[in-house]
Amino acid sequence: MRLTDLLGATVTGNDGHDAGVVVDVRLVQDGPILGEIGAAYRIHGLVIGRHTAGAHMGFERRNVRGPWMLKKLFSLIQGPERYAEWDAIASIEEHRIRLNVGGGALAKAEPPR
Amino acid sequence: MSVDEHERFSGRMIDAGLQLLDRQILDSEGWTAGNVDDLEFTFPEEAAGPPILTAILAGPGGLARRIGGRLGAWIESVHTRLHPSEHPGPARIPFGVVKRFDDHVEVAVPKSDLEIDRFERWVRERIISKIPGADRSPEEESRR
Repeated sequence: MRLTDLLGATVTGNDGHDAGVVVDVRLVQDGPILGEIGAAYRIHGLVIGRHTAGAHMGFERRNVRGPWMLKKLFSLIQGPERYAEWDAIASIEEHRIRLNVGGGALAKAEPPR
Repeated sequence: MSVDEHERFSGRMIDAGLQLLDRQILDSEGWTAGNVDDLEFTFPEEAAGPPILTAILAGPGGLARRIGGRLGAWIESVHTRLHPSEHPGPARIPFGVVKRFDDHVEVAVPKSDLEIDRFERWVRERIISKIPGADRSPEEESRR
């Protein structure tokens, strides 16, 4: 599976409603030892927003610094981002990810710790 | 990496699209070796669980899918025609050779050991070198 299989995919809750699209994939370094880097990175969850437009620049995220006007603009475009942990994923299909929870139950996306 | 260093990095969280994608790759000698165009994840074999980041994908084979549409298909088609193997995928850099990453990605091996260099070398030897004037470097031209 590639990162680009996930980015931009529509996320659908178990209530059948779309929760948004995948704007980023959060990884945590807690896997088996892989080599030079140490512990492997595993997928922790998905950051879900309204659009992928401009998401790769990250201006809408609280932990990314940038001109306030761009941050404001992209925050308006993206809306509040939500976070789905890996356990909340029921299936991954082409261009669509189905959750085992409703989209409304997703927590607000916080910056990676 | 020592045990202490490993403990220090364990549990670190990153947003892959923001903190890895499009970063420049530098080899063990400081030479540029392409960009991070995509990432490969592998599902663990022994048990169910989240996929593990196993490789960086670089070069036109990795970029084509990201661009998508007609342009992406065209890039993939050109890459397939030019590539020496019959079914070429993107150049794959195992994540185990990555030493560290921040505003760029540092790998622990020379560029010549990476797949991305093999394709570039093949294009240079089979195509670029056959173009008239290809043997003249810009440095030689400026001396004339």
